[in-house]
Amino acid sequence: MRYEGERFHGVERVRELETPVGAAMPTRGQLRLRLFGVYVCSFLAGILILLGEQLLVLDIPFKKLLTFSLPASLIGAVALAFFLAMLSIWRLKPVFRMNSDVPSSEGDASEAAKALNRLLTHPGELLCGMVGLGFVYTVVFYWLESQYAAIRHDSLPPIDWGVLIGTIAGEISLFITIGIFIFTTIRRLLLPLVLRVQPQPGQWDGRASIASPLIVTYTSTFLITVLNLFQLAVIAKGSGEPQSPLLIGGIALFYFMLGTSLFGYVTLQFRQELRSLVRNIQELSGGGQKLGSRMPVVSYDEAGELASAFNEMQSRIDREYDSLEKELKLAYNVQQKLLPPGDLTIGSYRIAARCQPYSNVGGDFFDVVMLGPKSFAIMIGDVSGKGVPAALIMSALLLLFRAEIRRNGNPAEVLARMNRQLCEAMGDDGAVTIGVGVIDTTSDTVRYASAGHLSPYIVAPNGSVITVDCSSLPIGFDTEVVYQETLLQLNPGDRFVLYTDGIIESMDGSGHMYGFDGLEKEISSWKPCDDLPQLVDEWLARMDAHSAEGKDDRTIVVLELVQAYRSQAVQREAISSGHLSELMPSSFFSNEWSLRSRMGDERGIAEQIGSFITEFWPETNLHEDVQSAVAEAIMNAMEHGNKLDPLAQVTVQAQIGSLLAVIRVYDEGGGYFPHVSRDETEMAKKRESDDPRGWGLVIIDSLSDYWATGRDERGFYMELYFMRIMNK
Amino acid sequence: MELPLVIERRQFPSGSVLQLRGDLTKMSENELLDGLAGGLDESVRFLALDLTGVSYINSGGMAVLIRLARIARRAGVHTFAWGVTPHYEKLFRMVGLTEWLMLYPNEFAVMQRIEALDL
Repeated sequence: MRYEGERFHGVERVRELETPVGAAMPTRGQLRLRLFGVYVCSFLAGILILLGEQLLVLDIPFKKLLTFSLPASLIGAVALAFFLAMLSIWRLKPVFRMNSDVPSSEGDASEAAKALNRLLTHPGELLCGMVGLGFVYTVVFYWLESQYAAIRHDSLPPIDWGVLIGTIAGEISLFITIGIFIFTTIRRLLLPLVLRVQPQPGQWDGRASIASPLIVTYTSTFLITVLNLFQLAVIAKGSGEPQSPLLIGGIALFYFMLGTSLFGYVTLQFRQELRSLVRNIQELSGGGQKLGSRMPVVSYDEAGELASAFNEMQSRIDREYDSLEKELKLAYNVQQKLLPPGDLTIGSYRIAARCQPYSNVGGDFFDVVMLGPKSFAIMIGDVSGKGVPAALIMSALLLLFRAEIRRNGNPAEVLARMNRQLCEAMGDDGAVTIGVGVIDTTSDTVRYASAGHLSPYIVAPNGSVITVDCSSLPIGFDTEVVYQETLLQLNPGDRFVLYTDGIIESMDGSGHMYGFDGLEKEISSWKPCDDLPQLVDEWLARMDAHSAEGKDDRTIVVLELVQAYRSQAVQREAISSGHLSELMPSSFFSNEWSLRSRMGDERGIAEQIGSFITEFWPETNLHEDVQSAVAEAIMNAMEHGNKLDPLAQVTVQAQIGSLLAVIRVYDEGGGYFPHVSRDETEMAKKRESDDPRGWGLVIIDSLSDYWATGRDERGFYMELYFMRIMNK
Repeated sequence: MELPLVIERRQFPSGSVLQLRGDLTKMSENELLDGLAGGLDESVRFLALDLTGVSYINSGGMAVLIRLARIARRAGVHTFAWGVTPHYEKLFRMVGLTEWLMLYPNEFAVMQRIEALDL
């Protein structure tokens, strides 16, 4: 088990364990050293108590103690500490193995269970061991003392068993004191390791009770006090002199305080564990912890089992959440696929649309639908409410809109029909604001109708902003609502801006709303530029950087009538209109090819089309011109349309008639504005640039009689026209 | 499929001839510029491109030729070419490549011109 970061639902999940005592994880060497240190300190404390007793209670001269008792005790203490350290290292071997290796298999899991068991039972083992060892040590000590006296031929008084038992009782109490020191300190020392080896569900058979350590500590401290007082009474009886009540009271008070301190310490530890447990539960229920957080299991008792059970429940919730998250992700993908590409070019128009759902799925939507060679529709909508219900309504309405707008391109009528259908389907439960604009690319007009949607703006190239006012009810309220249509005239360079309330209601860090003023100020500051999508993206990124976490979906649709392209198209049409209108392609050959966007592959298709020109128009010398122009158009489709994505297709349609050949090259991209320069200064500048490129369109423009770009249901295309003229 | 560009170099007293075969596209940029860099030393004053073996040139290839001729001119080297079909000659004129690259009908004409310049 590890507590490093984990990937979860694409979110960096960190298992933050709160240790109730804030203990840090010791290394193996540190642990060994600390174990030995704890044992030595515990024994030294015991020796100090013993020394105090012998000096104060038994009146043994310090000099005498120095001869044997004290050195023997010190040596014995260090030897015992060393022995206990070895014992601990041996018993905690599974833990040391865990310390070096991260468990990953089932075998490791059983090893972890063993390590946990050892960690939790070891303090108790030490306490029991100390009591037993104390008994043996005391007996051996007195036996050795008698043997030492016999060797020195000292005359020993006859054994007074009462005194001996009293002394042994006192010394055993000393060992219990040391034992309980060790018990509490080792429990504290091993706590970080218990945190590392978290018990799993099913490992709780035979766990201890929360009361056990309390009872052990309480009993031990009670025993210590009683045994010491017993020892004092025996000594007083043996000496025949009454002991000073002050001394008895002092000793009783000392042991009482010692016992109370230990008992209080153990109780405090439990209190901290329980408080940590409660705090963790509160944080988890209050959402203060991240998903996947686990509660530390710090004891092998009821509190630990409660934490473990809680963790199991949390795991189950996480799994459920995980599954829900995956489904929402899937729903998000489906929803995103329903929306058209965010960057589109249609004739002289460029569209940059962005839809940012607040959560995984949203209720905002937009659409762009081609209605014929000379018109298309744009739409923006906002379903009231959020989450899955809003997303479902959004998806249904998007499909409904596509069907309705193709049936009748009148925006007010489309809204009325969508309104009736939504009212019938949802009763009063659905309210959706929608704005629909139908753009006529020949007159550059927009027929706009709104169903309760926020007023769009028309922004002129000089930055002046016109608000298109149109008030009406959202769809889904009343079946009888009649929607009004407004006819708007766009001029080259104008931008028609549609948005949802998520943009307006964005809050900055200080709680200030972005508002209509913020939006108007922003869009009026937009200068004419070549890259509208980048302009919109940069603005949204700026908004993200300054605004607090949003609470609603944000959608923006910007339609621009591109000035430069519009003028070029008009110019080209003026040059060519005289010829083209007279020449209907009485087709006697047509063919279609598809190829992947791999530079070099264009040559084969271009050569085939060139050879068809030779075949059908044998008297002309156009085949090389057609071949080069088509190759350049295919390369543009690969590079500018499909962005050289090797999986994206380019489709080439060739239609060769008796007088006219039309070659149309489709790509899968959002469209691009072909910019051709006829200005010699600009051409010279291009030739002198470090990376002289962009000759493709110059070649197409020079070799073909006419060319245009457009969009239909198959995607964005460039079409080239060649006339059957000799000696071109 | 695109034919890779193969370059052969030969020297004449005051310059180099690069004989190109294959397709001249954006993909051949590195080969061609490397071929140029390897042959530019102080003794070279003229660079002649034999394009007789080049069957396909697209706008990417023309951009490469412009770069090549510009680099050569900066190094004080005049660039000539022969073996260009009338169609590609038309395209070269369209994009202004002929301002950087002097086109001649054959090697003899190029060498005559170089000799005249060299005197």
